[in-house]
Amino acid sequence: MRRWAAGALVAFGCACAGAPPLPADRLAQAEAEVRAAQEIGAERAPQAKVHLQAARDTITNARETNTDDPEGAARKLEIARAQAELANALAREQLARTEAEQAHARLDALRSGPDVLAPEPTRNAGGTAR
Amino acid sequence: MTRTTLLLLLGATLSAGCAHLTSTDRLDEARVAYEKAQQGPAAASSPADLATAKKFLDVAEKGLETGDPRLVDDRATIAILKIQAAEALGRTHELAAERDRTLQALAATRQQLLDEAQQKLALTRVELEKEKVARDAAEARLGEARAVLARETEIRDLSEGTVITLPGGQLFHQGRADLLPSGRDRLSRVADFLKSASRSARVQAQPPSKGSRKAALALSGKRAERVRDFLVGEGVTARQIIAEPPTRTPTRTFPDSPEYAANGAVDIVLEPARARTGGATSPGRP
Repeated sequence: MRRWAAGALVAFGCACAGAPPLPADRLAQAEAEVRAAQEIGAERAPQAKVHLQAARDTITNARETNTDDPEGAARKLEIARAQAELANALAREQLARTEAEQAHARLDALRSGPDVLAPEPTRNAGGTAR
Repeated sequence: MTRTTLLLLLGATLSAGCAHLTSTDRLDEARVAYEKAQQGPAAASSPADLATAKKFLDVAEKGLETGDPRLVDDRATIAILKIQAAEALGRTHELAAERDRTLQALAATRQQLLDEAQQKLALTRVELEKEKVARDAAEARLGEARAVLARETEIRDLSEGTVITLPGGQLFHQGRADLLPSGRDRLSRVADFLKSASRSARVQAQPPSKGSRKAALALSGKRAERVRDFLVGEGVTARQIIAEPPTRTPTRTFPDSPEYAANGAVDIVLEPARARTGGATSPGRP
């Protein structure tokens, strides 16, 4: 009788435990990468914005599917992190492109009508690729 | 069921159980993306990022051993994203290098233009200084010539210019237009003054108030011409000075003396000095 009761308790406990939570470190890394992309201005670069939104969606999807497929959900977090990293890289590329274009425009303007007393521009991207 | 059929079914079942996953569409896509990235800017400008992407591709390849296509696809997706990020970073490095080259060209061009402007400015300053020295010297000469002239001749600064008035008796016999020797001497000093001034001048002979008006006007016209010709002969340039015909009414008042009434006068009017645009100061007189 005692053995039967203990077995029933174990079986009940297993049934109530459900799926394990999302891996905290992977979730934190993915979310940190999303924040980094936001801070560098991924929202303002069209291509970067697409990937940033995809990263957010993937994190949401990982939360939703964790119960049924915890391993798949953990992999989704890694995908979300990579998506956010791509958004970050594309945002930096956009910054570098803008700065290169501005430098060309200033050089053209100087050559067509010199304004030798204009101050030097400040750099933003500055070869900041990671 | 025959024995042979049973053996075939058993063989098929065993081979299906041992089926080996060789690739997935997503993994093929990742392989192609990596091949393409090796030919692009990432290979030269961000090789470390591309090498990292390759490691993720290798992990995806290794996933084939599990036989789980979902796992392989997920890993391949990560590899593709890493490859794309490496490409973006490669382009970023190239753009940053291009920007730096352009900024260097910009700085060099600015410096060149600045140097040229400074050279021009220095030359202009030298020219201005030379002009100032020459002008000061000319004004000094003019002042000296005027001082000499003022000892024996009336000089007035009026709105129309500097007026040198010579009584007719100092230059001509009454009723005549030939210059007296003493008159020539005086006019020589007037010529020195005019040459120092380097400004336009005009000769106006004022007719005597006595005698025939018509004859007086004709005489004044001749006297103005004679004085003008003499001054040109003394070195005043012909373009600088003109003889004006006499007017019926005097253009300016004269001292109320019998000498002026009998023999008229000759005015030589030097136009006013122009206002300066440079940095030199005006002495306040022509």
